[in-house]
Amino acid sequence: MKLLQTTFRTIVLVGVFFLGYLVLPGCVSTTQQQFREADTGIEEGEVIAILRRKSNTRNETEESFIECLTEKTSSGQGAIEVMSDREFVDALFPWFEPRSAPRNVDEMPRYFENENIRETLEQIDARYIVWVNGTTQRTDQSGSVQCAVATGGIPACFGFLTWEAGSDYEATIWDIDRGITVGRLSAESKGMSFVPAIVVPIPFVARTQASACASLAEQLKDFIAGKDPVEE
Amino acid sequence: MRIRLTLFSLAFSVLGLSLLSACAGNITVTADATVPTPIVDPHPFNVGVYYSTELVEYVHEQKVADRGSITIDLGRNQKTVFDRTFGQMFQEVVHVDSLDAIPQNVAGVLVPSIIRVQLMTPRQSRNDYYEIWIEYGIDIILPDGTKLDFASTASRGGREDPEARRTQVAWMIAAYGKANKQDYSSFMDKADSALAEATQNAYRDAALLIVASLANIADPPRRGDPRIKSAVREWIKENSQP
Repeated sequence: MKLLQTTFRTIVLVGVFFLGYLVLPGCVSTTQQQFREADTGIEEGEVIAILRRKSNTRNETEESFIECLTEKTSSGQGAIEVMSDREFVDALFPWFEPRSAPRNVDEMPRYFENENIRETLEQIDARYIVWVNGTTQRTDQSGSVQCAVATGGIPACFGFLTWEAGSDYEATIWDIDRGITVGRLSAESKGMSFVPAIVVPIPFVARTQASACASLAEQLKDFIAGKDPVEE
Repeated sequence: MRIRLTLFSLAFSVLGLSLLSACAGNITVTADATVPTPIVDPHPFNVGVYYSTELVEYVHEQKVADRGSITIDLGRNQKTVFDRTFGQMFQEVVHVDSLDAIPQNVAGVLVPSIIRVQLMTPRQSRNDYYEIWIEYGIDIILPDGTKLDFASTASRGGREDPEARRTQVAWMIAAYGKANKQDYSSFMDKADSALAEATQNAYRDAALLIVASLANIADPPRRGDPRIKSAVREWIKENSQP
């Protein structure tokens, strides 16, 4: 009987922890910026390609962020048809691999001089290329949480754990038809996560990457549609 | 407060041990060859390709301090990688079963081999990436049975590649692939998936280096040094003439 009670308490403790992790958000603040260089618009049937800037050095944009941005830009209000990074680089193989991809948008015109690249882009009807650069970094972790089992078989955790995370991403939008950069968007999210534990640990996790992704996706949809941001 | 061992601590001990064993256990990696067809114009001549048993059965095993042993079956994908790449680079690619009988309708037989493989885990390199380097050598056997090698480069007035001299192969390719551990983070250990992606990326890099070396392309710009020998370029030039 006592064994069953202890098992039940353990399950409840772990359940509360994971529920807190999933439900309770930490504090996140997001700053977004937009810089328009030319007018934009997209016609039916045209697609945009969202690419992460790649290199064989470290600090590459996470694939998970690009997947999130692709999913959010191609769904919801004002959705745009998006060609994923993988589909695009496969269609244009091998010219957008880490070793061969343009390092910046200034190099793009040289790529479009290649007849094979030009023909492929026409076939897939890609109108804009969105280059995404940036990463999420976790910093300043401090404190600790320790768990033990007290008299009576009651499991308990005590302590306080905290860390800061920052997600900083920038998107440069290249108009394939006109061969120019039409604008730059950025989203910077900062957040503090903490896990207070008095018997039960309750995590408040700041999902900075998800916040930056949502912010950049909404900006991107509005920007491509030609809408200017509303001044608050 | 008296602390005593109960089911709670026992459960966490089991969980901890299982996680530890996931970190320390041996890993077997099976990667698919996801090399797309390159968009390039083929050279106007035929080549043969010979896959040695050593290549198609190549298995890399490396002891890694924090993981035990990592085993990657590289051989199973080599035919796919080279068939897809060479297949788009030349008019026709003929599979050759033996180097003793070279078909007369080919300008040469390409013989790829794996010279060296190295991998790194994030814990070893202290960064976020699983990384793999695959060093390939590609020999070219001419129709008369002789090998296009560093000696023929010098005789043709080309620049010698010191790496080719060391390994005695005509053409060296150092392919690199990596995968971010952040894309594979979870409560379960996913090192095998991350290493599989790194391996796939290395295959793509190998294909890129072959294409960039063999294609007569001025633009887009090429990165790095594909270490193609002057002799290989000369061989392509000679066979491309009508």
